[in-house]
Amino acid sequence: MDPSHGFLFPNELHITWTVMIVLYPYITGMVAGAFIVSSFYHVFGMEKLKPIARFALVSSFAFLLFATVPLLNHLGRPERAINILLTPNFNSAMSGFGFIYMFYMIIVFLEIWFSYRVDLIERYEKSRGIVKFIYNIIILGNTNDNENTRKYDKKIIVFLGGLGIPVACVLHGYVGFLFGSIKANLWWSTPLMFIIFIFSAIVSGLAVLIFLYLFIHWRRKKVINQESIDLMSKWLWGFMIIAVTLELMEILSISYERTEKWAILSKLINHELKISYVYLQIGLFSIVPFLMLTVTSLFQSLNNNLRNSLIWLSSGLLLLQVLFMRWNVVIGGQLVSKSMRGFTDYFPGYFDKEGLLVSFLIIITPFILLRLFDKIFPFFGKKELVE
Amino acid sequence: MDNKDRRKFIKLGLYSSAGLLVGSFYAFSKREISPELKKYEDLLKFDWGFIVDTTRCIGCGACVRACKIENEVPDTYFRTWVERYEINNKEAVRVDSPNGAIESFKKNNYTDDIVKAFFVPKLCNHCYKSACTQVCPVGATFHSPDGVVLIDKEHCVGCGYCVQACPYACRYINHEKGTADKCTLCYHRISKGELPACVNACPRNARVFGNLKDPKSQIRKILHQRRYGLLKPDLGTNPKCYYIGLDLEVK
Amino acid sequence: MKDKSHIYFIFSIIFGLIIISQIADWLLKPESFDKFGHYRWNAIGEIQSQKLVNQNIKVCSGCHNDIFQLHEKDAHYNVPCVDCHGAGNLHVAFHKGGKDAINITVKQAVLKKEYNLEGCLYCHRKLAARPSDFPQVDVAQHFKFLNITDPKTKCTDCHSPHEPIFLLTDVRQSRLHPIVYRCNDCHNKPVKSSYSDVSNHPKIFECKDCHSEIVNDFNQRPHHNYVECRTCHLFHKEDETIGRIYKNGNAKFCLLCHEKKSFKSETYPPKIEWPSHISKLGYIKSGDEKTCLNCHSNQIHKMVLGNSNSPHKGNWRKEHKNFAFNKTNNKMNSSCNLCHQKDFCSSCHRLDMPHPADFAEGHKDIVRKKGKTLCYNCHGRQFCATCHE
Repeated sequence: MDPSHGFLFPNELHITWTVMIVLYPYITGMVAGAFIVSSFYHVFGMEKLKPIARFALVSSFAFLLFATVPLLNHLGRPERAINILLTPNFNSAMSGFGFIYMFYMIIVFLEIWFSYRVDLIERYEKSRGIVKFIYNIIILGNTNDNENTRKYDKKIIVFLGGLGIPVACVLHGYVGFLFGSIKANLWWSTPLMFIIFIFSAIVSGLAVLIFLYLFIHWRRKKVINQESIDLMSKWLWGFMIIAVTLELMEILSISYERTEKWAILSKLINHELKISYVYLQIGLFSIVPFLMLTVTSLFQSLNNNLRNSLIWLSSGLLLLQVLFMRWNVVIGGQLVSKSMRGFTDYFPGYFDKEGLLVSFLIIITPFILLRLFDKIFPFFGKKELVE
Repeated sequence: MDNKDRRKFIKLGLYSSAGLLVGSFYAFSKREISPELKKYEDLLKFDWGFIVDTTRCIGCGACVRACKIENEVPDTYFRTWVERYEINNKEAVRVDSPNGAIESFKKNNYTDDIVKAFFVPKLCNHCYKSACTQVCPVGATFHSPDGVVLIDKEHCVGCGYCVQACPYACRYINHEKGTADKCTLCYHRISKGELPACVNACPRNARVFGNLKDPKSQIRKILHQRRYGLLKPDLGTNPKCYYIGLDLEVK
Repeated sequence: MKDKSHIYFIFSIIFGLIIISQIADWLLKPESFDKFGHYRWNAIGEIQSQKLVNQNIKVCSGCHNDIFQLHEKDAHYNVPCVDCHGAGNLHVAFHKGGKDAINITVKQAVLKKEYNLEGCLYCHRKLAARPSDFPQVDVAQHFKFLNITDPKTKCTDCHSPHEPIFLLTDVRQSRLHPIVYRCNDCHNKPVKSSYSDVSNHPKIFECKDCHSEIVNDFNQRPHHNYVECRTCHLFHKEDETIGRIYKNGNAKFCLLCHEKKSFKSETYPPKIEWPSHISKLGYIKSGDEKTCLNCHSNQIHKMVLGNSNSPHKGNWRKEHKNFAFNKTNNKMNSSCNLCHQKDFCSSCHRLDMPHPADFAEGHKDIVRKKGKTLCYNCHGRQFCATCHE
């Protein structure tokens, strides 16, 4: 062992939770964030967000479908994953995971089903052959569509959206709680953890929606709904300020308290995580988008194209900020020895089972899935497809 | 689609889900081995505890070697290990445990004067209020009736949450089996009346194992006579592994 | 109502799924789960059925009682067999025979018998962290002290692992020594001046304080220059105040220094070939632990070369009567020097042997007066019979 790394308990040489566990909260963060954004329209009736609401819902679903993939890849015995539903130990923070996840999945699925029902029936009637059969299964053989059904559907959507917001917060805040409740880990153990996770989830949700919306519209050369983008970017600005402030407040309170753990955590911040935390997460990926979003939010006279580019860039940077925040929390916490005397190293490896290539694939699949969903559930209603 | 078709469809769905269910039932159910168990009530008579006398340990690593062989512990992971603490005349502390001290220690770390130095063997504390059993999502790790924290390797999913939760880093993921793993106090030995492998191997009686519920046991006598400490008592885990001659530096 | 049917339908599907999952939960839940707590009770049985590998010292003593007896009496009595010989499960299963032995080859069943240097140093390497009362060896110094040249020398070349400190008698001869004080028991820093130089220093003991005669004797002999009391009497601090003292002095112990070995320096200290050294003197049983002392000294601390026993085998004199008696003079006269050189007897006995030439003449009267029992004062009862039947 390299003496400059200090003392590790022998079992701490290899960290237990790899980059896969970094990806899981990252993806669920986007799920929760995107769902909350869609609910702003569905539940609170913010008409400005209408163009993005359905897209938010479907992307939330696409990410949700893949949120468990990194977990299953990380489990030692993935075939036993069902045990978490069969014999949940309710003393454990993790045991609720399966139920919350399933519950949330059902809500998102139902909400999508109800909000797309009209379009699907329309498509079912137009298509033929095997596609017609698939659509038939999706709409459960019920083609009844009139004013009444739409009215009922709308009510259900509002109900589901209203139910979904707390569940989304629980789903993600609870991931934060998983970390924050580990008293053994000096870096994780703080009650602030789950609040930070909720806010960073909303940030990543907003960021991914803005990022994809602008990207898709630029690619397809379609008209951008400037109103909704402006509103979203302002929210992104606000939520990222809260999220970053909370992240910094956490460090501030640890450093100000100067308890026993600060001795080792200051070393963690200043050495082990210097690049990924101080320079990247706080410096490049927080302060820079903060400045850009300040400009776009406060200076209304800015050219639309420039404004959108800045918003797009900062949403991309904030996506990375959240990814680095997850990395710094999940991996950073495990680098510190529980003996408070040293650090271990971690590099995921390029082609390992839990390496960088696999993580990249896992990150990229929801986006590909989203592209496929676009074919089944068109995100941006036909009426908007104006050249 | 008319009603008849729908009914058919539902039937089909139900049959297929039932089929899946039965299939998965056979897939998941295992032949459960049931060797001779002691009765639950018999096990309640015991509460196994452990004493580590740090003043007697010579850091030979016999316990680590015995444990490795006994439990087929994979390389670089340890169910028990020995740490060495050295404090020199500048009050600098250096701790090491090269490969868990499986081949003992080769030389002093400080060339200058060592004013205080000692060994501390570590193993699972089998806490009364263990953090690891609290966090296991599937109930695969539990307190046995005789007070040993065990892992059900046929049920563990290998999520690693317990590894994170253990403040003493006594758990690890056994990558061959894909499950969490840790010291069982050699449950297979103690249930046959043998001593745990590390206690059996210790040449200096630095490790004492016994029944805390028996007022006449040696372990109780020692606890009444000697002054002992616990590891990280502030975390409220109530460890059941008592360290005699524990230093402040040991965490 | 008809307009709500799709809503009822999808919710009833979900409800159905929940019911099915409840049934599945009930079916798939492992047997014996939640029997005595939130865990699988059968898991306890499974963990209990793990194979036992490390063997107990009682299992070993069942067959190897002889070694166990030796081991039990010496300083290593607390060191279990597994520490040096390995876990031993295959060995035991193989030799017990039966079902378990089938898949075990003879090779697997062989236990590790010899430990290299490193193996002993696991416990006995000098480390600051080891308790100071535990015997520790700085290999470099130890080899230098013993003039050992080969760095690959094994500890077992000199020390028997079962009886590392070679005790004299059958019973473990350790007794509690009243007080063992060393300077650093009280002083943290090395002490430069002797305690006797310090006025009002509390009384402490050195060996000579109590054993002055022995120490005086010992100090006049050559051994004094090379060894100290501790070399042979191993103080062993069992607790803070009570010391155990081990008496050494059997043949093996002397041989530690004086036996010729390939890895030892040849010149110093004086070495002998073993066991050829005593095989010349065939009447000595090599198993006798006092072998060396018998010839070389009655008093180990004095190391006087005094030998009262005949070096000859059996009833030598009787068989060699003709040599023992000078027939030409018809006088009973010693003729040892027929074979031995002139100073042979005197090299050991420091007087003319068997007696001064006039001894028999001068004592003739007194022997006649008091009878032959007088001879027994010096000679054994069998002495006369060695020559006269």
